[in-house]
Amino acid sequence: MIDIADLAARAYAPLLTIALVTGLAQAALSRDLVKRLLGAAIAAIAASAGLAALTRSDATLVGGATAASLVMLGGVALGLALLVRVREGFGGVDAGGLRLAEDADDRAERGE
Amino acid sequence: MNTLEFLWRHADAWLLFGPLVVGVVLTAAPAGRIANAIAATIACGVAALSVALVARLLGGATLASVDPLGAGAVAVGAVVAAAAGTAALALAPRDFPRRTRAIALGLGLVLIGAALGAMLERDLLRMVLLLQTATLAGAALTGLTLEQDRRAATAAFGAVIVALGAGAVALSGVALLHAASGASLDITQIAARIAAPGGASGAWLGAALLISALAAFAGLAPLHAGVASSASRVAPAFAPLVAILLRMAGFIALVRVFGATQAFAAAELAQAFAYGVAALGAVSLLAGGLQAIGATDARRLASHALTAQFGCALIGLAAGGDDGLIASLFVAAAGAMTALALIVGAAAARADGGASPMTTLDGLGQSHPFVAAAITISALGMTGAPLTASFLGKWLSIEAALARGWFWAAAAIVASSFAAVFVAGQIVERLYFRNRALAFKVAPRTAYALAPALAVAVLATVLFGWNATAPLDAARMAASARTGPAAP
Repeated sequence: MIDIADLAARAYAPLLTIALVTGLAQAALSRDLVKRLLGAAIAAIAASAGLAALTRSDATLVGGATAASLVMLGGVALGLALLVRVREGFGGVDAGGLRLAEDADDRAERGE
Repeated sequence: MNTLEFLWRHADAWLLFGPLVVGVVLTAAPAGRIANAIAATIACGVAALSVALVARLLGGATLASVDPLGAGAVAVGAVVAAAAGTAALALAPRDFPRRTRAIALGLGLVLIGAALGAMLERDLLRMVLLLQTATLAGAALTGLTLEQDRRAATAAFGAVIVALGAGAVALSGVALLHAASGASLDITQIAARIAAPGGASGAWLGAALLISALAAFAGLAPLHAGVASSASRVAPAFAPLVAILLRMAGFIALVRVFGATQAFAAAELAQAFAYGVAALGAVSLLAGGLQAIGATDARRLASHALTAQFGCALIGLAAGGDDGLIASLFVAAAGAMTALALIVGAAAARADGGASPMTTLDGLGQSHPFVAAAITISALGMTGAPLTASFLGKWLSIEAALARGWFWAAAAIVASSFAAVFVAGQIVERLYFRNRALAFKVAPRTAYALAPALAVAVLATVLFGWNATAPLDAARMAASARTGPAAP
């Protein structure tokens, strides 16, 4: 019979590593800002979980792991709020389209 | 115990919690008209305390809670914060409606407290969390200007992604270092553990992840595009905080972690970290120098120039020895002062706030001669011209690189100085040989209120270029607090 607890205890490191790497890759490479935020959030969750797992032997670090999770949640909330404002301001969240719109704003600012 | 002694013993807590707590209160309960005065008072108080701290440490006093590296870095950072605080007295009422203004000032104070705390902190987890907090506060500050400029929203979003992504990598590094060394998260204890034979097992990966993340927080190439966007989109009063203070905090944290990597028992591992950081420095030096040439915005230019200065500082740091570390800290501080003069000068060049395209500098020599003179000195500082503080810093960095036999690094520093000469030429041509666009108007009252910030930046650039005894003593004192042994 499979011992789920034992499996989880042995599998958390590769799982968290995969989540961290795929999340970061998504945050860096995706053209869609929603996917970028999702990727960054997944990476942050994986890192917070990894921190909690690797420091679980030291009870004094529980507060630190909790604070890391709270900062991550704050960052995701701020990102969501900004995403809404980007969509309102530009009418979309595609990175390529945003770059073109920003270039047009830059040119208008320089009077070209 | 008298009041001064109490302040002295708890200097680290005052520098961190003073701005942080007042900032949170101001953000949560906007204080209306007095918010400006509160923010300026706190920022100037923090600067006075940090300068007094350095003076006392130089006088031979000791303090358990603050090491000389943190004290020296905080003194430079707090001067930048005070410059932003006094500039905000004139600029914040222009850039924000009253309610938003108090929130912006509160976020500015949160950024100041978190960044200064990260410079002082020797506990790796707290250091990373403070850097994340400061970066998120900077993102929120940038986002507050999106009513005037929709591009602020994308710049702020980019900063959030950096805070989350770099924070995730940094936390992974911290966790690995803790697991591998078995020590607490204090950088000094970790350095001691990894110096023991076999201590490198797994710790090298944690240190590499942490240094990569701190490079992103410091805005080093190739991870520097976001910081330039934030610097150009945030309201002018807060640009020194986002473009300089925040990045300095990341840089000082990187200096601490790099110092620990030099303690690895395996010499080839320590060597690999030195080469890696030197390569990061060379890329930053060249990318920052070249991008400054093509910059179309004055604050973006200042940000790229600071990237190049940090690159030069990293080369000195990686070259090793006390001289290399002294060069590194001196270059970083000088770069901060030249960037401050350019950013504040650009803010004074426009009557109506908003972005600072290079055209705002046109004809400033006639309309604002003193501001133009300050920007000219800043431009000369960027090049590393003699009699500016940057000259000595670059000279020391080149010496450190040559002592290590790194001719390529010395060549990169010289090449970057030539690129900076080209940029300085562009700036001087705009200031003195072009006509001013009527659309920007003149802003005599604003320019007058920005005088303290400009004066501090220019005096630091010129006086410490003429006589560098005091900052060199402070840098030597800071070098004595390295977390690992000197590189060979």
